[in-house]
Amino acid sequence: MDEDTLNAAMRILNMAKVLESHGKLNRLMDMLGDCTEITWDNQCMVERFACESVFQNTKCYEQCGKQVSHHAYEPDREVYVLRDPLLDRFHALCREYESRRGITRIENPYARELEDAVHSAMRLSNYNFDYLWVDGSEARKSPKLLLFLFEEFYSFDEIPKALCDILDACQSGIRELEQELKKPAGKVIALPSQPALKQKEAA
Amino acid sequence: MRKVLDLGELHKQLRQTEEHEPHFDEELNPYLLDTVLPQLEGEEPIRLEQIDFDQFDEEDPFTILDYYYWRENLCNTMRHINRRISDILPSCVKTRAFL
Repeated sequence: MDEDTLNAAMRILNMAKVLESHGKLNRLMDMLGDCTEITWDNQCMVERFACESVFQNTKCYEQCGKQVSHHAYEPDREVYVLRDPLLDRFHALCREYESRRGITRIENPYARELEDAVHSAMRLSNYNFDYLWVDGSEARKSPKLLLFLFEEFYSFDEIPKALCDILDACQSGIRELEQELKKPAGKVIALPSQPALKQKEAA
Repeated sequence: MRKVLDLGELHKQLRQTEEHEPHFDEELNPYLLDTVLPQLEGEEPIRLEQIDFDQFDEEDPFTILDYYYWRENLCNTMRHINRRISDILPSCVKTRAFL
């Protein structure tokens, strides 16, 4: 057994275990079909499908880089658009919380926590990628995560864990928000009563 | 540069050295080590369906990888020492014998 075979096998096992502990392994198995053998040849396929198994709605596109000047082009990239009902639920709860408290999305501590969790999860060991967290606060935009993977990106095996961490953070945010929203609304403090206006007769 | 290896001195030093086997610090998962690795080494096909995921944690496969690299480093060091010793040409040294 050479180094590459062992490396591939252990990375496949790690990804599968991450998905198994998040209840997503069956999805990966369905996607893999007959190609479940733990081999170096299958590593790439397992990585790609593992990335698509975490969020319930995952779309992957190939984008050619746009021409930005006479000779220069943006780099080609793969774009993953990741959506999940958990994100929608979190977004709905955030909206309710904000409207009850009369605060904006920026002032919402739960939204900030999830954003921090996204940034922390997306610290991958490869630099050749970018991501965009769309929190759904803009009109007609559902919450989603966009991943831009450029040519030299190779850390596909780290993505499933990162995505699972984001969903975990989302789930815990939902729990906290639900509890927060169950609490009765705080007492409304009455404004000091205004002294009754005395009408004066015109002289 | 001329290198001289005194086999008598080497023998003496080795006898005086305390024997201690190099030890890998982290604990290796027995399921991966005794069930999965032998199958991979024997090039037997092994599928994800056959894996018992309750038997190991997420980080255990990486510990196995670390162990593999650690062992490889150790082997490389030994090979290097062996090669250096082998490269030294033997030379005769006069010794005085008391009969």
